Amino acid sequence: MPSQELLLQRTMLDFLVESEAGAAFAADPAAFGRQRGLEPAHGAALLRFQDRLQIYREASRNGTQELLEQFLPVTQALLETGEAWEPCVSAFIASRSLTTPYFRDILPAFIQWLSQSGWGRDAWPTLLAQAHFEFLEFLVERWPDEPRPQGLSPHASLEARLLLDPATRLVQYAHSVHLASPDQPLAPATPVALLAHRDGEGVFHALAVTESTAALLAKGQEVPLGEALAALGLADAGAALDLLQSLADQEALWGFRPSP
Amino acid sequence: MCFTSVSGLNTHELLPIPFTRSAQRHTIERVRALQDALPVPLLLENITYYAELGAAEMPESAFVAGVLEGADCGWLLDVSNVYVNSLNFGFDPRAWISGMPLDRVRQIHVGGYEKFGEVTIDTHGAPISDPVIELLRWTLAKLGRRVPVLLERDHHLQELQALLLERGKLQEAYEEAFARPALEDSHA
Repeated sequence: MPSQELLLQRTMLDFLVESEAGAAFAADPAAFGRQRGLEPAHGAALLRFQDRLQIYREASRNGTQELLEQFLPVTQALLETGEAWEPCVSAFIASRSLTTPYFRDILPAFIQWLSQSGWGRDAWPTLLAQAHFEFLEFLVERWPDEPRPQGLSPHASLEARLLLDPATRLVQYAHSVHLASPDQPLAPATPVALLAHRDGEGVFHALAVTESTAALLAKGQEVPLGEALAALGLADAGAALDLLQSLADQEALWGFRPSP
Repeated sequence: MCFTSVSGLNTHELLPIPFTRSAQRHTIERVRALQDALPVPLLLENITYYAELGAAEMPESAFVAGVLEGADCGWLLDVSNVYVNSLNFGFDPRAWISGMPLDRVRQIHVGGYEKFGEVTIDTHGAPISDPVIELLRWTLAKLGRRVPVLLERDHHLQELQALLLERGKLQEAYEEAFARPALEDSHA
């Protein structure tokens, strides 16, 4: 049988995370504790500190909500069109998905919860992709720096392979989430492939690329570009090399690794 | 000296441990185990708290002192936390500190706080108040030995120059504590 101290801690956790706990606790703190196995003396203490305990509920919930709002402004704006942002955050908190002490883990936990729970999927078809794209910005900007290998060529050639910054991500979405903003949070229903990278100053960029360019960017890291173009059935090698050169000039690629 | 997680879930809040004998024994065991696993001395810090969790079997001071003594570990004395708790629970901070095992203090923290309605919250987002600076000076004089003092500020950060001025005020109080220790008897 759990100790009274453990039951007190569990009661506190329920109070902090359950969506309806604020009202239930306010209505009858002693009953709130009794329902969770607390002895009357502890229930009386909950009653005595009823108002002060609310401070913890507010602080804990505000902390999570403010962090999400800092990094997901478009997602927030999207849901606020239906007054659903706070209910969404509340449902996330109630899902008990936060298992580590690190604030950096809150954002990925939120994306994972959105994906697994399907929350709001029917009402907001762009929701998960939008939140994921904003998370991508967080991820790419903060990815640990790694030294650029020596011997890279700045010039595209059929014999070379592509080398991308380890922070760079190639992603595809069913909606053009990169075009949404806090003022226009509904992303156009046009599928898009994006090359998400950071420049020399660490600033995030998302370049829309065609499907064949996305395929070349993926394949060209594995095999020499000439081979990649052939495998993908892309006949115009000159145009492809020009495009890759342009991406490298924009710092979207680290460079070209000559074949050994 | 708090808990942040329950049953594997993290709250990201510093929650008060119930002030019971059982919780005190449990905390001592955990601290001893942690200390055995660490290659460096462990210091425990006293927190601000706004409510007791459950029916207390002892005051906070007895809980904290009992853990420090029982676990035989060092104390990171947060003077501001004592002061904020004294405002929220209505006690004399000097009497509180006087009753504690001061020989265990290895470091002192000070931070800013803000008042929200009837409650004072430890926010680390405001300048150190004069009463806290005076309590710091008094505490150092009572300790009678030099320990590091850390200024905590992680919200509403000021310009460096303003922080340096604040640091200067703390340094003055620090030096004053050892320049006129004879005055301390009249405060104790």
